[in-house]
Amino acid sequence: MELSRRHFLQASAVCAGTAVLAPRYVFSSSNTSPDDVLVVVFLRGAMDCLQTVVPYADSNYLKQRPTIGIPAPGLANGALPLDNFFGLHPSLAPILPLYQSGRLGIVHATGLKQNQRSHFECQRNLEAGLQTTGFYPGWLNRHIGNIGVGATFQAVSVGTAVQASLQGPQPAIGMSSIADFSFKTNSSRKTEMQDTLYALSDSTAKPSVSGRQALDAVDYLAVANPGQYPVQNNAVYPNTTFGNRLKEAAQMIKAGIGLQMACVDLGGWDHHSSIAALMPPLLDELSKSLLAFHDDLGSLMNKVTLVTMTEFGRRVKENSSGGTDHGSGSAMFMMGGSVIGGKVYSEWPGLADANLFNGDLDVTIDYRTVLNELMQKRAHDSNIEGQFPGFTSGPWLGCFRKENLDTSGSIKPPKPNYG
Amino acid sequence: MNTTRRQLFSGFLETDKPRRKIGGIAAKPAMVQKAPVPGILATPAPDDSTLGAVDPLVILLNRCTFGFKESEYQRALSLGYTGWLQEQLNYASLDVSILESAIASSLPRVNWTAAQLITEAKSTGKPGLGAKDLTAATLLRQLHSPRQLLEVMVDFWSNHFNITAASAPENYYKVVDDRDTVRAHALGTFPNMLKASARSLAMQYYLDNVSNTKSGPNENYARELMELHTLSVTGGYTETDVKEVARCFTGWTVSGQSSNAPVFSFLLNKHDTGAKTVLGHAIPAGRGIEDGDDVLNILATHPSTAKFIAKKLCVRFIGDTPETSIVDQVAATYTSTNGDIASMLWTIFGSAEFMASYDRKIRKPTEYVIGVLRVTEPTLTAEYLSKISTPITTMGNMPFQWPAPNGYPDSLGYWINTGAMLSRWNWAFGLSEDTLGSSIRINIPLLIGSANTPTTLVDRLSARLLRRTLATADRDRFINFAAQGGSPTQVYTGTTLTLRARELIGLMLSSPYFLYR
Repeated sequence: MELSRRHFLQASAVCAGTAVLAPRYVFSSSNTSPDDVLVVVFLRGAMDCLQTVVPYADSNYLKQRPTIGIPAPGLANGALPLDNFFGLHPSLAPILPLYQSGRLGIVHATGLKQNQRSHFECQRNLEAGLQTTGFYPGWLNRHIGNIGVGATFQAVSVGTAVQASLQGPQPAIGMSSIADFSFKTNSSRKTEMQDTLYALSDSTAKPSVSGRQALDAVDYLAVANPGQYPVQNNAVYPNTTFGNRLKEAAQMIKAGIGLQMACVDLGGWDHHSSIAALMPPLLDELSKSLLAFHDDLGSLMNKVTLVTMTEFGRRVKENSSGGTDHGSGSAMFMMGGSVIGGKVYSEWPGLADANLFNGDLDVTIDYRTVLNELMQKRAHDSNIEGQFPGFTSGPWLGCFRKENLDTSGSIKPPKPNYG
Repeated sequence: MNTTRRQLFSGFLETDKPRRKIGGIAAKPAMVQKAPVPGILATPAPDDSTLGAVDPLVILLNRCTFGFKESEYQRALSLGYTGWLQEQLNYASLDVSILESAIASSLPRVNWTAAQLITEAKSTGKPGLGAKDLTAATLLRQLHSPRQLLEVMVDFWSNHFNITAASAPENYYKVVDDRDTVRAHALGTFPNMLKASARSLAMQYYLDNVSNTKSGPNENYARELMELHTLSVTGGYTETDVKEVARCFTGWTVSGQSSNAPVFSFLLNKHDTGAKTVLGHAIPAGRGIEDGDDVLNILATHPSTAKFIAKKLCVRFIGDTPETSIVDQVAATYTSTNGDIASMLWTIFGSAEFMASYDRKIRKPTEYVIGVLRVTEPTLTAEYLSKISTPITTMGNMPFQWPAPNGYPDSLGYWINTGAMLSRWNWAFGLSEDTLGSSIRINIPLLIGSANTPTTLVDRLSARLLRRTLATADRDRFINFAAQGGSPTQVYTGTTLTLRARELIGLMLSSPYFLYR
């Protein structure tokens, strides 16, 4: 029989907690990782952030969007006030309390400034963290390179494919669901079968690498059994693909298997037409899922930071179909104990024609400035050149705190990093 | 029996006589490619170089089918490389009457008109029935049709002109688009398919041109038409071109929707009749539907379109990053034949790049799931389609469900990850261990023939399922596994023989050897 890494890891899983193991391999009832879990929700299709985070006090808003614009707070179907300038789309009401309690913050007029309105190019550029297209690893994969490879489940994409943000030379797990992540056989020779498969997957080609990784991971996950953790604190996830994926991300966090990065997608935002009818159900699903995730994790959420990204914003002026075409500036939502929330961070460029960037909301805060602050304060990664090659960060917004909150929600001094 | 590359090429050149007419267009004598001189022509590396070379006829069958049965392999051997291709391209001679009559009786909506579809969708409140029939028929055709290359091309163009059939009315009009846009032109010419797509009711709705009017142009179709259907994102159009093309297509719409008599139509009063400029071409003022048709012609004859379509075909048939040399040749064929699809395929399949392209393409999940069935030829009864649908859904590759207008990716990087590997293995072992239920029953005796020792089982099954020579180390691994520590020549009988066969079949179909197409 050929000696394999598989055997080492199987043995490791069984004698977890002994001195031979790095801290990230330890099973425990709480997340013992020194770093936050970063959850990146990519809103594919380009969310119209002028509908979701409404600049109701910008007098040009309703002039540009006379049909679809969300009315000011206080009016029928009006926005939910966030401050004296911005309001939330009424269908995002479930997350308003999180904003009010400081657990949710928003960056507006952000994104990647580029005169490029292709969904696919812009997704690629954002996920590579680059201004221009090229074959580069995703920014989260580069982050793994910066901080070092950790637990088997250090980085997980919950979905049928691994997000481009996580793709690259460093290992990342793809998982359509916890239940599907298993090796199903009736054979009494399961171990020999897995060993043979492992030995057959002996090249550096991706199918072989992924195959070995799957064999390493599958027994480990069976022992950790994240599916055993129930939803807590009366949280209710929408019974949708996205809701279930966030629920499973929460289960992996609860299982303490060393998760540091999780990626989940929610698509369907390409509202070229009928945005007034098509957007509310999606916002309802998004906001209820985020709220459920936040509540479900309870005090664990103090060390979980969720951020949303979308490939670009949309044209300021509505089209004749009751929708909006491709544009530029968009918004990011940030949620968790690390977020200095209750605030819309923005250098608002204005919606008058003269202030638009080729007809679009301009990008005044590069999204990488936000992520760089997050990575440095919450993920012990100060290698900005490694994260975003060629990028010079603007001044941080101060939207994340470096200190951890304790279970009561107050700030406690940072724990020393061990490892 | 294996054809060596040299034998193949010589046979190739000998039979390179004036060709039969293909799809109404004489096949171009595109195979002027000289046989490669060993050691001189730089051949691209396979993705996994540990597996060893694959016979070109097997590469051809792997790329042009959803997996192939024993009888299909034998037929290809007897027809030869060129002969088999001619038969597949001249597909009218391949009889699908039994399959199609079964589809017509059990999945009738695939043959319905737009009017029938919308009438039912409205009266039942179930608009998704059309897409449901179409999806089932598509999987059935991929699984059973002898016109395998046609089905491969239908899949290819369905993704190229992707329409997500997830909501009304796309989920019923896609039935018509599949029949009249994709299938009608899958081996015809690209410009004709492009023009059909522009008038497709499903496409009109999917990319919102249906409500594109002069009062506030909707750019969705205009942008994706250039970015995804023709020029490519680097094809040389500007943001101004997007706006101008959108203006050209104002007034292109669907009418008769409310009276259940939907037809493509052009509304002059919604059309912007001003002058426009598209990619440097002047579109004069005062005209109507000609504006859009001119745009389609400009795009169909643009060199960027030739290159983009050529590259995409090479990505489908040669490798995720095809060589510029072959892309340029296929683009030249596009230009010289006005976008004749069969001619471009002849250029690809006659190229040295193709002949050496083994293990450079991964099977997409649907291709894997169906491929496992086609090479093992199990007994299928009753509800087997729902069994097939489960892993395809888990892996996220159900036809017509990709949520964006660019269609399912066709790259190893997208489809291969840890969870995807487990899903593939579970399908292979589910079949080999006969745990998929009574609707899919593997036939072990058919697959193992008279083989009954570890060595003969491995050789028989690898020849039958993988159609290739295994690397020595891997062959030994299979044999050692099957021998269970005993002799590689020990004779198995009865249930032990069956068990060893099940294990080997599952392992072979799970191994990297079968992951590539």
